Amino acid sequence: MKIILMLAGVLLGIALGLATRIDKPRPRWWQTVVLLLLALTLVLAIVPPIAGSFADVVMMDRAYKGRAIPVKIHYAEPASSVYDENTRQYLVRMQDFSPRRNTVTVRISRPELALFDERDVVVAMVRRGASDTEYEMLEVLYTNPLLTLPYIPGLEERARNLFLHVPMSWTAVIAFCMSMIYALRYLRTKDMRYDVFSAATAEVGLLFTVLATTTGMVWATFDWGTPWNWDPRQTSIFLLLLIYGAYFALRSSIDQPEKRASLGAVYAILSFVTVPFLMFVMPRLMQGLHPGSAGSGSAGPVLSQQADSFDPVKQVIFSLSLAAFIALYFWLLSLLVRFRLVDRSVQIRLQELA
Amino acid sequence: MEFLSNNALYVVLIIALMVFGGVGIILVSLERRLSKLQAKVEREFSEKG
Repeated sequence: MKIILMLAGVLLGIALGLATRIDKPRPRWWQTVVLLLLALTLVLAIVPPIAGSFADVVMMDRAYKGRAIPVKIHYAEPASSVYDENTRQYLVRMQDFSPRRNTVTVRISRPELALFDERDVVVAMVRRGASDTEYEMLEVLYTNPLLTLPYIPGLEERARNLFLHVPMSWTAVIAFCMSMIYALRYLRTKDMRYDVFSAATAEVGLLFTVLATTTGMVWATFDWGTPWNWDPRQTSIFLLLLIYGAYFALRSSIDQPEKRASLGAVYAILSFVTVPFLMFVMPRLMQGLHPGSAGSGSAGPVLSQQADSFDPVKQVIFSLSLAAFIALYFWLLSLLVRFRLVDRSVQIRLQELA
Repeated sequence: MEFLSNNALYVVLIIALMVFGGVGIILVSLERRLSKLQAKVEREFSEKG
C-alpha cells in the first residue's frame, strides 16, 4: 500500500509536469494547480498535531524516565471514571489509536477531565505511571483534531521535515534521470534543443540536491549533534554534488557548442550511472546514522515495510508532497529551458547579423 | 521540541506561507515575463525571416 501511494505521488507529479510541453508557457490552470498543491502540502506538513500511542510512551519512558509525549486517545468504556481520593484524580479507562487499540487506565485531574466528554477524541500529553497499564494525563492539547501525524520516536516534531527532505532528494534523482534521457536523445538526434534540456534539468537537479542536503543538515543538527558528520549518506550526496559540479565546469570550459553538447551528453549519461549507487546502494551497504543504513534494523519511516509504520495520513501527505515537488521541478525546468532557448535564438540571430 | 503545540504553530505557519507566497509570486511573475519575451522573439524573428 505504501509503495502504491508513493508511486501514485510520483506519477501524479510527472503527469502534471509533462501535461504541457517543457518549452511552452505553462497555462494559468497549471500554475494554479501546482501552487495549490504546494500550499496544501505545506499546511498539511505543519498543521496536524503529532500524536503517538501508549507503546510510544513506554518506549520514551525507557529512554528518558518520566518523559511525557502527545498521545491520541478516547474513552474505552463510557462513564468508566473512578475517583481516587488519595491523589484527587480520576481513573479513566482510555484507548489509543494504535493497530492493537491498547486500553489502559489513565489518571486525569478534574480540570483536564472537564475539557472533553465521552465521545471526544483528544491529543493529550501523557506519561507512564507505575506500570505499563497505568498512565497519567498532564495536559489536553487538542480535542477532536481533524488529522494527526504519527509520533516517530527520536524525531517527534521534527518528523514534519519528512515531507520536505525526502521528496526533495527523490525529485533530484528524477531530475538527473531526465538529464540522462535528454542527453541520450541529443546523441541520437543531434538536436541542440535536447542539449539545452539536459543541462537545464541537471541544474534544477543540483538545486534540489542542495535543498535536500540543507534540510537533511537541519535534521542532523538536532538528531546527530552537528550539521555535518560525514555519514555515508552525507558523503554520497557530497560526491554527487561534486560530480554534477564537474559537469558544469566541463560545459563552461568548451566554447564550441556541438563539442560541448556531445561531451556534456556523454558526461551526463555517465554521471547518472553513479546516482542509484550513491543514493540507494552505498548508504545502505555501510553503517551510518541515517535511517536505512546497514545494521540500523529499519529502512526508515518512509520505506519501512513494518505493519505499524504505515499511517494513511502520513503516507497521503508524503505522496502529495512528492507530486508537488516534482511538479515544481518541471516548472523550474520549463522556465530555465525557455530562457536558454530565447537566449540561444538571440545569440544565433546576432551572429547572423554580424 | 513541543513548540508546535502552542501558539508558535501559527508563527511557523505564517512564516512558511509568506516564504512560499514569495516563491509563488516570483514563479508566476517569471512565467508571465518569459511568455511575453518568448512570444516577442518568435514573432520578430519570423517577421524578419
